[in-house]
Amino acid sequence: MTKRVVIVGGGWSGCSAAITARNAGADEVVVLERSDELLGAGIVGGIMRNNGRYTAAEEMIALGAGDLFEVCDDHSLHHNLDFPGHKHSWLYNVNTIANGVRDALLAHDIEIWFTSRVNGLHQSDGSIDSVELDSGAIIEGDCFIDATGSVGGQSWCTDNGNGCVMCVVRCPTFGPRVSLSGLAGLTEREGRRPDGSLGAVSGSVKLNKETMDPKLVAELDANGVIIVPMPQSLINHQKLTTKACQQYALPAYAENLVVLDTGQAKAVTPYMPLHEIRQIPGFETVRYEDPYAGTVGNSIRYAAMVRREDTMKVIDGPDNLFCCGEKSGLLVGHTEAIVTGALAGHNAVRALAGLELIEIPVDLATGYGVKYTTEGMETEEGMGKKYTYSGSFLFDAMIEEGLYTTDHGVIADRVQATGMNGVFAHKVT
Amino acid sequence: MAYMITAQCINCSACEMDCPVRAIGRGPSQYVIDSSVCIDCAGYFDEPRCKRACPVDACVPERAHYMHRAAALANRGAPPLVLTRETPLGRVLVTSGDSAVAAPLKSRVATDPENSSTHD
Ligand SMILES: Cc1cc2nc3c(=O)[nH]c(=O)nc-3n(C[C@H](O)[C@H](O)[C@H](O)COP(=O)(O)OP(=O)(O)OC[C@H]3O[C@@H](n4cnc5c(N)ncnc54)[C@H](O)[C@@H]3O)c2cc1C
Ligand code: SF4
Ligand code: SF4
Repeated sequence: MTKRVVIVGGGWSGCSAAITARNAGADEVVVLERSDELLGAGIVGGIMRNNGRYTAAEEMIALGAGDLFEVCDDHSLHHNLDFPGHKHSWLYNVNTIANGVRDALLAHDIEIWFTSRVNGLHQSDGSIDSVELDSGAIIEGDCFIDATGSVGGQSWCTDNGNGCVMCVVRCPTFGPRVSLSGLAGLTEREGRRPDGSLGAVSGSVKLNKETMDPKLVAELDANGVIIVPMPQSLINHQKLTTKACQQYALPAYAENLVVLDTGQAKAVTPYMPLHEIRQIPGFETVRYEDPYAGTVGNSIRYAAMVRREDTMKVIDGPDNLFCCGEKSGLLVGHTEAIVTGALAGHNAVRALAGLELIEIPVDLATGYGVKYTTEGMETEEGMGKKYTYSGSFLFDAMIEEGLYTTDHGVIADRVQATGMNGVFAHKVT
Repeated sequence: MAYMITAQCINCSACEMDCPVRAIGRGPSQYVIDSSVCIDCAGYFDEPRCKRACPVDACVPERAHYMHRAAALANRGAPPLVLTRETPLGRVLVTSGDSAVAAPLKSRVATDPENSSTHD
């Protein structure tokens, strides 16, 4: 019998799930994406392999889920770059990455549906039978993965931010995120900021290179990073507490404008009035690339997370529903989305084959991070944090546990010792 | 009877503030009306307030089996664009009628290929 896995959301996590589901033996894998491009909120990203993400990336490659890391590596503009608080980062080109990921998915014979927003769901006997698109089309499936992310919905950006600022998610055009778990009737959890308000403001913006001083651009292109001191009048430490990315909540980011070369100029600040950025030497005529209205705010994330096991199976939901990425918890980043996505896709096929679901063991940094996040989110304090292999609490804990390393040999041995070498690359039966 | 909000909701929150009995709140992906609280504005206004406030006509009398079939504002009516290994640039999928079951192209059952215009 033909088994079909339907993935709702084409961000990093959904794309990762698609590949492992296919490799695990799903006959048909369909990714439904509401917009006209893959990678969702992640298309503004660019930073890979910084700090503990290096360990995580190499573990995933050894575990057999290396496809997307290879695409990122292929599209990398800068290797082993250091910038404040972050070591050995690889920066990929955000202008070309989505096509690279698309081609990788198509090469795996995965179907990608664009302008296909899911806004309805049909269930019977505790299982999802099909999902329904805005257009009325019904897509049947055997197993479903909620990879809808946690960003989007104008009301979120209005109530918990400064309104829609027209980010790449483009809710007014493609319609807001609709959560699959939400449609299944599950209650979703909301992350909090230290001041108690809901969600978190995305922590970086893209600036248009052509509107920057050519000398700065040349330096940026050559070195991958420029650290431009801010005029004293602009230094605003307060702003750091609102950011999604705790790994960048360091004083260096308040005192300087840190800009990374991701093909575009990625400025590590959640938002900043244009007239203020233009007071920084070299940025006199700069324009925003994303969000268009970066003067007043940024997108709000971590608004809708669902309870799940560390296998990524949704708890108390339909029996054929998995989740991954930001939907699966306060995990920030592409690497984190790829890890949880790989689990969701692989386990979806295991579930269809009636096999026991797998977790990544805590002896590996990747598995440790998943468990650490699950446990952290059980406390109120933990719901006010963000979790990433690249910095902050989780990275500190990884170092303490001796899990952080960039030694490929050590990583290969550790993965070998778990007996899970290549597990995500192989059919489950 | 009560009113309900269809999937056309763009989450603008206009209705929430206007409802005289505070029956409207934000749901997981759009605004929702608590049908046990909604009184169709009887005694307050001649016409339900949300119906009047909503910029996209998403507030309608409640139906028992609402299936989100109304043409949604989202995507401005753009039909799905399906990419496969064989058609990497995509094919526009035209589904006809309410009952269209759009199986993935590989094992399409109910969608007539005649109705799909190619894009590549
Ligand atoms: C501005 C910014 C910069 C960032 N920079 C970095 C970085 O440099 N490095 C890094 O590692 N991480 C970065 N991150 C974080 C990282 O991008 C995210 O944590 C990660 O990509 C989340 O992936 P996801 O798949 O969970 O969600 P998303 O990327 O949000 O993807 C969800 C997808 O689901 C789609 N969708 C939603 N609802 C529906 C529906 N009903 N039907 C169909 N489709 C639907 C959306 O359109 C979207 O494509 C950044 C994030 C932002 C916002
Ligand atoms: S800022 Fe982005 S996520 Fe927020 S409402 Fe606007 S388009 Fe959607
Ligand atoms: S007024 Fe209409 S669009 Fe706005 S929140 Fe209410 S139902 Fe949704």
